[in-house]
Parts: sequence; C-alpha cells; structure tokens
Amino acid sequence: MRGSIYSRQVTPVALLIAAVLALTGCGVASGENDATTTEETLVVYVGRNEDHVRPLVEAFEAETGLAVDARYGSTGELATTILQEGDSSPADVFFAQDPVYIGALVDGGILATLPVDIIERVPEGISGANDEWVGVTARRRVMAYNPTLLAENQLPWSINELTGDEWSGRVGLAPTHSSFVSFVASMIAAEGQDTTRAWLDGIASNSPVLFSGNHEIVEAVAAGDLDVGLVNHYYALQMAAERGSIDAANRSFETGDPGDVLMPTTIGMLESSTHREAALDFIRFLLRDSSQQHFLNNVKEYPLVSGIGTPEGENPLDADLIRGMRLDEVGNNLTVATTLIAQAGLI
Amino acid sequence: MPRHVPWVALLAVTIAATLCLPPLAVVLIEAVTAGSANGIPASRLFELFSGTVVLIAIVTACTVLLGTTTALIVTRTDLPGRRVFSFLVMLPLALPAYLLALAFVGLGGGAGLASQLGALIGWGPAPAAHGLAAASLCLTIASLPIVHALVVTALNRLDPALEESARLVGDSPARVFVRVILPQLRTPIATAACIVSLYTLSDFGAVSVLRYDTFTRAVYSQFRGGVDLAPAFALSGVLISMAAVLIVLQAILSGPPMPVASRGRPPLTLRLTGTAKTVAFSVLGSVVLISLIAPLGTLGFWAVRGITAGVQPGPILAEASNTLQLALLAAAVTTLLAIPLALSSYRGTSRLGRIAETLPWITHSLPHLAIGLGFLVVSLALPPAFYQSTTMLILVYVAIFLPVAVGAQQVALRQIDPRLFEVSRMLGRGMWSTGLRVGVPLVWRAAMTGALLVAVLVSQELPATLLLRPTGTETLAIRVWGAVTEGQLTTGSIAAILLVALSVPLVAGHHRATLRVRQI
Repeated sequence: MRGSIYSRQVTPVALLIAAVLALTGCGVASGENDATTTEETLVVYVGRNEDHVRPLVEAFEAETGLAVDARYGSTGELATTILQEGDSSPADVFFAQDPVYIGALVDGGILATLPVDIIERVPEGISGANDEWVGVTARRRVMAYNPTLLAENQLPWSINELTGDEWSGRVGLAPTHSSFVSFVASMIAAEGQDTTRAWLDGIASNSPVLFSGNHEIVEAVAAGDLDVGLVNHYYALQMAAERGSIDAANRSFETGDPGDVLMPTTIGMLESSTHREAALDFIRFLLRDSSQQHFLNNVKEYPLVSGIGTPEGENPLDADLIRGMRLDEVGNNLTVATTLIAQAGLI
Repeated sequence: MPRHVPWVALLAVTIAATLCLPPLAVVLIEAVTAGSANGIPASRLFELFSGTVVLIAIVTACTVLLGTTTALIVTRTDLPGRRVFSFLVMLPLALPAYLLALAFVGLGGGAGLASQLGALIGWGPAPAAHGLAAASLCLTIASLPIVHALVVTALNRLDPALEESARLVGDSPARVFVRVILPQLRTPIATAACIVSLYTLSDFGAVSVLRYDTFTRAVYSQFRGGVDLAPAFALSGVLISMAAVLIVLQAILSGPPMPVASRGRPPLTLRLTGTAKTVAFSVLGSVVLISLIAPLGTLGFWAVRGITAGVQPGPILAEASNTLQLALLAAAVTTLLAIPLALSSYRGTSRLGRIAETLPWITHSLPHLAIGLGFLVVSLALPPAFYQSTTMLILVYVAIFLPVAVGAQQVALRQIDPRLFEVSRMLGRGMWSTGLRVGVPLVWRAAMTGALLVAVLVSQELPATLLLRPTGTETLAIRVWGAVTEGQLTTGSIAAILLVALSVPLVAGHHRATLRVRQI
C-alpha cells in the first residue's frame, strides 16, 4: 500500500527536482546574463516586428563578434518603459516605428547626439532637430480597400471625405496604434489642433470600426467584412507575400492631403549608454546598403539611403514627400495627439 | 496542522504582504493622483463600463450553466466515454483565450475557414467573429474548464448517502438535483463564478483580437498609445473597484461548508437512454468541437499553409525552452511559498490567515497589465540587478498566481481528518515530524495539481511578461502575441501549436493528479 503511494509520487518529484535544478543550475536561457548584461552586451529596445529586425541583429553579431540583447515590443510600450527607467535604463539603443515616440524621449533629454557620418546617410530633414535620432526606413499612410468589391474610382481622395454620411460605418481605424497616433501628430503639424480635433470628432461620430492593429484592418478588408481602412502601406504587401495573394490593395490619398503621410522609422542612442561605440556601429549597420535592401525586399518599406529602390507600386521618395513629413514639428505632438484621440472617445 | 501556530500565520502574512502590497500600493497611489483619464468623455467611460459588465454577466452565466452541465454528465451519468470527455473538456486550459480568439477570427467572416467549408455544402458565409457575441463565446469556452473542474471536484466529494436517501423516498433525478445536489454546489459555483468574472474582467488579449471594448482593453490602449501612464493608472483604479465588488459578491453568495464524504464511494449514476443520451453526447461533442477541434484545426491550417509558402518561424525552440523553464520554476517557487499561506488560512478562523489569503487574490484578479506596471515601478526602485531579472519575473508570477496554488493545497488540507494529527502527536511525534510524515503525504498530490496549473497559466501569461522579462529571454506567448498583432499567422500559429503542445502534458498531469486527490 505504502509502496504504491510512493511509486506514484515519482513523476511529480522528478518534475519538482527538474524545476529546482533549473532554479539553481543552468538558469533560464539568457537569465544567466542577468549579472553580466550591463558589462558586455549591447542592449537594443526594438519597437518593431521581431521577424523583420532579428536577421539584422544576428548578422551584426556574426560580423562584429559583439553580443546583442534585443527587447522586442511595441514602440509605445518600450518608449514608456524607457521613460520610466530614466537614467538607469539598461537600453543602449532604441529603434522605434515612428518619429513621435522617439520625440517623447528627446523631450525627456534621454537621447545622445549622433555623429555627422550617420546623419548624412539619409536625406536632409529625416533626423531629430539636434541629431538625437536618425530615420532608418519609411512607411506611407494609405487607404486599404478590396479591389474585388470596390472600384478605385469609388474611393475618396481626401481623408476629409471619410467624415461624410457616405462613409458612415464603413471605415476601419486602429486609433491607439502608434501608426495612427503618428498620423494624427503629423496632421496637427500640418493643419493645426482645431482642424485635427474637428476631423477626429467627425470620424468618431461617423460610426468607425475600431481595431487594435493595422493588419486586422487589412484582414477584414480582404475578407470583405470592411469597406476601407486607414493603414500603413506594407501590410497588404507583406500579407500577399505570405499567402500568395490577398484581396486587399493600397490607395494613397491625394498629394498634399493630410491623409498622405510618409513616416520614418527612427533610431537613437541613449545618453546613459555605456557601449557608445557598439551602439553607433549598430546604427551604421542598419543604414548600410545591405540592411536597407533587407527592409525593401522583406519588409516592403522605403529605404532612406539613396539608390536602393522603392517598394513595388509606391511613389518614389522625393524632396516634396520629405518636406511633407514635417518631422521638425511632429515629434513634439505626441501628448496633444493622444489627448485629442482620447477626447474624441476613440479608445 | 491541528492548531494554529502564530508564526506560520506571521510567515504567511509576511510573504503575501511583501509580494502583493508594493505593486498594489503603486497602482492605487497612481490611480488616485492621476485624477482624470486623459479627458476621455464620460459617455465613453460609461460605454466601456457597461460593456464590461454585460460581458461579465453573459460569460459568467453561460460558463456556470454549461460547466455544471458537463460536470454532471461526466460524474452522474453512465454516458460511454465520459472519462475521456472529462479530460477533453479540461484540455482547452492549454489554449490561452487570445489564441481561441485568433482562431475564431480565422474561422468566421467572408474569407474564414468555416465559410469556405460551409460553401462546399452550399451554406452562406459564417458571421465575422467580433463584438459581444464572439467575445462571450470565446471567453465562455476559455473559462469553461475552471467551472467544470471545480464542480466535478465538488460533486465527487459530496456524500452520496443524501442523494440515495432522496431517491429512496421516490424523488425523481431532476428533483434530487434541485433539492439535494444544487444546494450543496452553492459554494463551488459561487467560487467558480467569481473566478470566471474576474478572469473576464482582466482579459485583454481576447477582447482586443475580437474588437469588443472593455475597461481592460482601454487600459491597455492607453498604455500602448501614450507615454504618460496616468490615464492607464486612472482607469486601473476603476478596475480595482470592480474587482473588489466581485470578490465581495462571492463571499456573500457562498454557502456554509459542505458535508464531505468521510469515505470515498461512487455516487449513484443516472442511466441515460435514447434522447437523453443523444442530448448529452451533443452537449459534450459541441464543446469539444468548438473549444478544441475548430481552433486547433484553424491553427494547423495556417501553419501548414505558411510552411508550404516557405515562411521561417524563427527561434521558436529556444522560446519554447525558455517558456518551459520559466513555467516550472515559477510553479515550484509558487507552490513552496503557498504552503504557509494554505496552512494559516485553511480553517478560515485566524484574522492573519485571512489577510494572507485575501491579498494574493487581489493581485490575482487585477489585470496583469496593471500589476505589471506596479511591479515595473517597484523594481526600478530596487538595486539595478533586480530590474528585468529572472528572479523578479518569477516573483511577479508568484504574486499573480499564488491563489491557484494556495487553493489547491487548502482543498486537501480541509479533507484531512484532524484526528490523524492528534494520533501522531499522541504517539510522541513532534510538530515538524507530524507535518512532514502525516501532512505532506496527504497534501502532496493536491499541491501538485496546483503547481501544474500554475505552470500552465505562467506559460500563457502575457502582459506582465511583456513588461518585465529579462531582455533577450523571449517566450512563446510573447512570440504568439507579437505575430498576432502583426498578422503573421504562420509564425503565430506554429508558436501557438508549440505552446499548446507544451501545456497538454501539464494539463494532463493536472487532470490525473486531480483524479487521484479524491482517491486519498
């Protein structure tokens, strides 16, 4: 009787012992790096999709022999985390999806100035006011639609048409996604707070369909469950690449319309970084032709280094588009943008 | 232990207070000082509030009805295959709600798998999975195992003599259920309803994927969209009050302790015939179809489609290893730290014991994002070695999942006949010796069920892991969520299938251990 009880306990005992071994012995994968992380490893907070950035991180490690710990997450979450961490942030580098959240770090005095050779890799105007960050690639705000259900000539040319009755209940938005917040920040820079507020209130009272991310919008459009959605240009391209084809296409708004925005992804080095040379080398690595080619081919984004190319079916990068980014102002508008979005009830 | 030893209660309160009070204090202080929620219009706040309450009411009612039904079928009828079904109904524990939600989205709508399959036999497109109906279905399915498990355990512990007497005096099975069984199930059902409602309140993954607006989703949106934490904390304050109301409701609805069978004896079973058998089969079959076959089939379809298209899933094996190690480590530490809490509170008489029991319930029931934010602030105030360390992450898991381990141990402790301890003491054994040689063997299996459940929950945990994991330690849950938010269905589904594969042995172990607990 007793023997059988004990034999039946073997499995759980083994499990518990395994767990305790894990605690005292080998530790969780990089858990053993806990103590050494700040000594030898470059820490990069990546507010971008892991699959798009990891190959470059691994290539950088292989080439330089340096160890990189990358923390992947959403840009907004990581920017908040760095602001909470302040001077004690373990991060050396922050790679963000847009100029708005990195602007909040500039406001907090958290970023160091980047050297001229890095700034000069990209066209003038795609860097922080005092060179606190530099653009890496760019994405365009577009309207996604289903070409099998809607003809291109039925689509509006301006985002201002979307607040009209014709589009009631037909427009998808991801209002708390960093890409929408950036778009609102740039609209504030271009049109002023009052016009932006009026547009947000107009779209909020036009029964928009709210999503948490861009791809869900494109997914719903492709399925025929949603007419149009405001998204970044590369989602439809990436999903088509993953699935062979997809019933979703992009249409840009008219040039000069507040809906036609080009947004750079951005990178900066923290003032508190203890690995400055490695951090700058990592940024240089991302601005190399080969890395820029990766972003164009695999992520379908605009490279910012000249001569690499343009995403399929998109207008080339030119001086007008870059001026249209109004990056000097956009970076300061995060708080105003999130407040206006919340006040419109778009949460 | 037979009598309360004050130092056990003191140790328990120290553990509970050290782990749970700091993050709670941070959230409460920030919520009070934050003031307004970023000027969100009151009408919108009311919409979020009522949306949350409606969802909680529907999910709780549905899971209690359905979970009690499945539990009765597997414990009180002679339905063939009921043991297999009992396990299959528990298996969705291996599928976090956000995965179920993702699969439902892939099934419904114009391009959904269900619509494509339906078209083959001439059906119209399935409705797109979003909004209240989809969120209710998804969370009902996700929390059904909780109700099922609690009610099955309770039914197995009922003294069959009462039911037998009622049947002897000529009561119909339905009347026996209403007059004899149901009143005895009051406490477990109240507990299950409380757990399910708190779970629904704190879920953000599934409601985000299914686009249903709740308070927790709003907290997450505020956190994700802005860099100012004040609005997120202000909304968390509302969540804390809602959680408090639910916990108080549970205490009010709970009945007196049940009479427990002194000796395990199989209860009378109802012989099912004809229509009744068909109905019972269809209920269990539908549950298995919706909660297992459909979602796993959808994930499998995506995985195969993506792999055929040549998509690389990335370092998911390393992530699986991280997930398993963190889960087992957290389960071991949680179980060890739960021992004093269970010992000091299982009789429910000591005030210290009750404090030690309640505190972790509060951290458990709050949205993990809020608790995670609290811990983020706390760990930044500690020496730098703690920040984003494995140690800190494990402690966070302990703070969140302690009640699961404590609850499992309490169940076993309550079943022990106190006379066993008295006999041991009379035979000259000391307190320690009695605890080790009499208490531990009796509680061991129940503690294992708790530990395995903690391991499953930790492997699926998302918000706190996102905030506090060591940089470079990616887990499957993080990978799934990252892929889901970027629409990378291949990577997401492969990682998800791996996560489910890891959890299945843990759930199976939990299920076996649960069956054995009642054989003591």
